[in-house]
Amino acid sequence: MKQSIIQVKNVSFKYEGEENLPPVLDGASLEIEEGSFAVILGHNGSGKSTLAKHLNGILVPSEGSVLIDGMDTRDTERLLDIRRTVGMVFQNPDNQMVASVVEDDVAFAPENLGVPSEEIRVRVDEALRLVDMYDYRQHSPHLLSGGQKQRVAIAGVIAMRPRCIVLDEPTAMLDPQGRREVISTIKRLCRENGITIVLITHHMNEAVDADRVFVMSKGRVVGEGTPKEVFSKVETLKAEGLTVPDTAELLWQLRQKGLNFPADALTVEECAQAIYKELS
Amino acid sequence: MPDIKTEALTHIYSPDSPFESVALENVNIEIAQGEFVGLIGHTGSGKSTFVQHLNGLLLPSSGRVLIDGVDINSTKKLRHDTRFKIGLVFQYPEYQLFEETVYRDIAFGPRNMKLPKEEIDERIREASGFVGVPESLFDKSPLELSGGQKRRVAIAGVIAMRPGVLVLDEPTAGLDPEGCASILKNITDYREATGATVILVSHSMEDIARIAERLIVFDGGHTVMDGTPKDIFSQADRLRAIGLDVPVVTDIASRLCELGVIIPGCCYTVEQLRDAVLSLRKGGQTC
Repeated sequence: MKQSIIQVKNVSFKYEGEENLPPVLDGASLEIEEGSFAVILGHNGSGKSTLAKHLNGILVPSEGSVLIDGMDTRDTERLLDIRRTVGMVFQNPDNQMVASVVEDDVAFAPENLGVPSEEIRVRVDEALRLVDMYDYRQHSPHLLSGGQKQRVAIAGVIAMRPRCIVLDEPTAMLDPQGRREVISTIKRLCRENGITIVLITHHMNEAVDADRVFVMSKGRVVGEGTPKEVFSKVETLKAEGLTVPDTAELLWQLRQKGLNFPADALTVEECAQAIYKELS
Repeated sequence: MPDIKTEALTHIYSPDSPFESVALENVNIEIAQGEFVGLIGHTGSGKSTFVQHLNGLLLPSSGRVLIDGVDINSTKKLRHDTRFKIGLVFQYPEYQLFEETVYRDIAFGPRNMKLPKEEIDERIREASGFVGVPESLFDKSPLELSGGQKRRVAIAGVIAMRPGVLVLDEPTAGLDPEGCASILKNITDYREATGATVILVSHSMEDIARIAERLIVFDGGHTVMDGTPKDIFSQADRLRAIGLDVPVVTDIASRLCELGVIIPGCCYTVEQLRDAVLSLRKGGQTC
């Protein structure tokens, strides 16, 4: 087994001023393997965004620990190294644009890291090519579509050359086209460039190709497995206020009617084949 | 309850400038009272520009918007009054909460209608009931609420005007599945209770397939398809050609057809395909 780049060990967390409320994270634990594509699911308020902010030290645990490539996020001397290792992309692309030209925006982080300017040039071009936005390098970010802006935000993170990128609902504000662009970009970064991806999402369909799926509820990780394993437990997910992809929902409803369908057909093709077999 | 009609509605942004762009061109739509219409189209197709014409927020570059046969832009007063008849809920309406308390925020619309105090109070309670905002939140600051609660308060603020037409631009964007289902239920409940027309803009084909009775598809500033969900989703190839998705269920049904399993009718919800498969199994034929 490959080494875990992210280790979250029994983490509890409360926001300041909320001492009387139940903790947002309440003993959450998970490990993410380097180079894998991991998805974290959970309803609003399950603690998944709070967990995401623990993964590069924006927040630090009240109890328990978060280790990034072995570095404890509470060790302030390692904070810069941690942020170089794990980059973050948030939901709203408009809040993440700082410059008035795309390539300046992508250069912002490496500039702050003190990277020499010739090196920045190389990294910016490379990052924009990786997200397929190189042709837009001289454009103004505010004239781009949501999906394009989000890919520029990802390029800004890539320019730091992180080993892991955490994306907190990066497609929530995008239309289907933008959603496809962003998801195919991050899958490619994972599969072809070996960057570890942690995707936090409400869209069950985005989890279908993940290596590992984690389900959060009430500040804990309550389920973990391959997409097939996780989405075959339809009742458990529904109890957590989540749904399953429509493919799994259809086969589940057919099973409820007494038909013998597999619980782990997730893609359209697998689902169609399963029905075809049953009917012919 | 009003009927809505647009005649040759055209809207051009930044006319006579280098950034001139035609957002709507010659759009003719009629929506009868009580209809539940879904508007679909990819970003930039003109659907949001269209809905902003319905209550006079945008003025047509040419063409007319008629409510009950009256051009809403013919006088300033008519345009002003239209804002109370046609309630528009924007994308991410929670960013537009501004009052000190939830109660005052919901009251903003009815107060502008110059209603008596008692009636405003009654409407606030009624609107909160529709969207599931408990009265215990009335004295809180909107800023203290969760994202889902904020959105409900914002929708309540529009419903409190008792609009005969409720227009919602992506009301479920960014919510979790449970939040989506519950907001959509609030909307259908409001319609059932009041007979209001509902116009829903959505990117989620699954949502829209489930609840709308009529779909209008926008592409490049034109309306390119108009019909029942069944009509529209049976033309999956055409939808894909203009960059739209079809519901996953429709994809499965298309693939089954390629495999030689003929699914009777067009399926766009999980329940329809489930029933179709069940009926085929009970002695239907394959080929």
